[in-house]
Amino acid sequence: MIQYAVRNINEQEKKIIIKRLGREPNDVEWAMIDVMWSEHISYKSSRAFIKKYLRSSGRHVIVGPGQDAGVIELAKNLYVAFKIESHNHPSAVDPYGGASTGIGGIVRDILSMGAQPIALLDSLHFGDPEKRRTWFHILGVVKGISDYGNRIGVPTVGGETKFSSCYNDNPLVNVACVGVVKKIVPSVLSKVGAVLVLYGNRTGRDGIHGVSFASETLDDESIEEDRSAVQIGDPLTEKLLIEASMEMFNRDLAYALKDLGGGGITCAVSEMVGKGGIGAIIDLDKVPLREENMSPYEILISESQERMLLATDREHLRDVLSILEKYDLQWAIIGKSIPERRIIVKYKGKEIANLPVEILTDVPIQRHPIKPRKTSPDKYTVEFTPPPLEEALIKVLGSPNVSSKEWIYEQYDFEVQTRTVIKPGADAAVLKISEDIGVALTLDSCADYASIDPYEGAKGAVAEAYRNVISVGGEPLAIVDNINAGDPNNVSSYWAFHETIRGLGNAARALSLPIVGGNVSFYNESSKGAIWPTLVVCMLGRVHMDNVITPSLKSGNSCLILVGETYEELGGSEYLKVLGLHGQGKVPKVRYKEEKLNGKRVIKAITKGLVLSVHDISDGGLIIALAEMAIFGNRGIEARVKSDLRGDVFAFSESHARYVLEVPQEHIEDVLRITKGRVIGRTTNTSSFYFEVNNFSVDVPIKRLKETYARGVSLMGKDQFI
Amino acid sequence: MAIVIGIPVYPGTNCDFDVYKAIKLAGAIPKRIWYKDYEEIKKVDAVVIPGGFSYADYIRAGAIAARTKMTEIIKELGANGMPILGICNGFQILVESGILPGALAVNKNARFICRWVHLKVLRIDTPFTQLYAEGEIIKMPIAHMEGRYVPGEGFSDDLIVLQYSDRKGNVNDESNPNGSYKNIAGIVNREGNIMGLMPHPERASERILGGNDGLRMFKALIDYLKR
Repeated sequence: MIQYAVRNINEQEKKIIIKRLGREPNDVEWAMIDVMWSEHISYKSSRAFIKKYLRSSGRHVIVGPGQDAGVIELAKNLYVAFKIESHNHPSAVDPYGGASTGIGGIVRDILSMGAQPIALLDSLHFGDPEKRRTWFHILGVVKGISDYGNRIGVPTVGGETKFSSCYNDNPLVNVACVGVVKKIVPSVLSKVGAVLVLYGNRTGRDGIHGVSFASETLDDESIEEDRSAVQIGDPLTEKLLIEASMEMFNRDLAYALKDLGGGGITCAVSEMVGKGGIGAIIDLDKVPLREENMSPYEILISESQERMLLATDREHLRDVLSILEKYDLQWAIIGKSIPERRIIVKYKGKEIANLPVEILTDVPIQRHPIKPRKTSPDKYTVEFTPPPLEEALIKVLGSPNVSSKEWIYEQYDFEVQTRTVIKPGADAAVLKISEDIGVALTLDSCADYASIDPYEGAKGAVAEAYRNVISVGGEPLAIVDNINAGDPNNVSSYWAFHETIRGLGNAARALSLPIVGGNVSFYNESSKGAIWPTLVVCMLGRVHMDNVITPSLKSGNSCLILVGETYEELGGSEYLKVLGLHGQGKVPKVRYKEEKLNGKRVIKAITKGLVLSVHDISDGGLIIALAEMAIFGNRGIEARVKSDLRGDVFAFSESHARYVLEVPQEHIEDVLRITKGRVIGRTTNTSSFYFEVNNFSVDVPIKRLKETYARGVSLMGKDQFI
Repeated sequence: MAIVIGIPVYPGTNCDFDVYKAIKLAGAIPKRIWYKDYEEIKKVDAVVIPGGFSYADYIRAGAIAARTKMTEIIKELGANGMPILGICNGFQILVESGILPGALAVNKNARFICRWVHLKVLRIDTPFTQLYAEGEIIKMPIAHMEGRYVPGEGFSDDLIVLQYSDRKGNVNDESNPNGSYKNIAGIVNREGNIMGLMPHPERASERILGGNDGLRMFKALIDYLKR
């Protein structure tokens, strides 16, 4: 018999398994244990810190971490589920397939809560845009999201796209999905005798070892070898899967539901019954297969897409099957739940695996050594001769990170389902959920800061997301997060991971935001080094439709008010980056008190109807925030400021807790009183952008700003790579 | 008399609920009809074929749906004078089945485009456009990969109902998002009862979602049916 080659279990863990089981597992059992003990599924290197730092309880939390998605109460009888996941490794080797199956997977996670998927957002991190390989990633990923997301009828409403050469070999594709729930369907089954129905696609050989592959670093050989580990997406089946599942939810036919993702049948079955304190018996001969001669272990761990596992009872089975028949979906009754806490697998009439559930689901924590990196800057001031303000403004505005991403989001259907009130390109997306209530959604990361200071960078991502929700008129309610890190066995990468999760936990706690779900992606590391520790925060807020507000200037005769204090904080800024000085200077510090207070003040001014537009200040600082407001609203600006800071420092500092408000003349006094802000200028009906601080000034036509901003990634001369 | 408007749903159709909402908002009774329920479609007063990706656009957009029995029945109903409106993929199904002339080819930039556009209304003598003014500029979003209209047998310029324009009504290359022949966004058959358009009127049914010019298209249809 061929010995199964274990990929995720070390010698010490092997001993633990044999001891706990009281015997050596057979090949099939090893395969099952192997996937369940992978980093991707078990979180063995991160679980201890998740427990230590992340708080998941809160007033609006209905379902916290541990199920397929977190659920938040938006209003009475109005619930939303949301979750984020990474599909980094598959997207590195097969950008199109990796990104599209990433969409499919996260949508099924939301579906398995009994929710209707209503929106997608994605956070993309790519390598140096001057490199050909980066465009192989960008074009494949964007088309993958577009082709899959558009076809399943779920709008892609927002996200972010960032660039740095640290992602050359390891691009990041983090995808979040949001759903509306009427009645939550648990992913846990505690009822004995329930029928387990597998439905959706057939099971094939694609995605075998997907989780193992996500739990290793990529080297050049793996890029070719591991293509078979990437699953194949079928959006039509996914669409039908959504329709059929929704019909089952409406008729209350499901006891429990789980999607099949990493670890395939093994993971879905053992997690479903494991958390319910029972077991299951599975008959592999029943599983509809796409290919002949699949071995039992392949069937058990295949990650073929578009499959769901449903638990129901005999009484409802007929209705379930008639729905599946209607939508032409494959289905099979593959087993049932049993009182013994065991997973028993049968194949060709023989019992081929018989394991206690715990050996699959209770994976011991793995501890790794940590070594802090020493070379962080110790002061805020960076010594350099500033370029002319106009030159700097144009450079920063046209930089890959800051410039418009319209070329990307225009390829996504962001309108389907007719809920999208604030569309891509603003601070956050807003979706209308009921007549007067909506959700605000944003995805944010601050890897530029994290590259210098992972702790402060993680805090920064939370703060930025917080401001983005507030800037559209929303009240921040909860977070799901995705931490992307290097190899946990690398002492410095593991230190960066620890700093990141500590920063996330502390910032979320300080801003009273529960973290209701998350994902950790390790091994984003190649022979050339690890990625910057990249925390992606997905924040959900509640918005009253009357308060919805955008960053585009609305009038040519209003006043511009700056809320929040500007400090000398250029470290990690876009400004230093375009000057080739990235890495110098301490990064902006998140001051919780200011962040919270200014957020409250801005919301108060918005709620009172005193404000025409709002934009938060982040990448590129105040001057970029103003430029964007002018570009979006197609109006002029005349701003004059005095500051104790050097002019360019004031203009480009990325200090947190700041907003720009456009306020009509008659409300200036009120807004100043509420926000403690200061008037920095006014809007005009001219076509020029004038900004002056101390002895620095710039006067450029809006048209030039627009062209610079729009050029973005689309016209960087790389279209020939298509 | 209550007006019932049928919405055929093919595998992969994804704008059925949006059209449903818009029809309801416009004041008629919408009815989603699964493509296998042939008998149901015969009982309605008008048909709106919604957008999406029927059969995932395999082979060509709309090609497989065009060859289903459901579409055959819709063709018959249209031939008997029932108003039929095809939106986006619905328009693609209408041209693929030969109910409307021409073809819808891949956009000039070879990419999917989701964007709000301005449209110039050329004809107001159809059941779908009678509430617009002649030459009126309206706003709706497009979202498609294959929307470049290419004329074919049976087409003539007088069938053009909607053209892509800018906000001032200029119809030119700059205001043409996908490279359509003569900026065509929508056409009608010679009899005037079957119309197809690439933009999504149902997505322009509420002011808070960006505009409500599209709602008038459904209201016009209902008005027509009431008369």
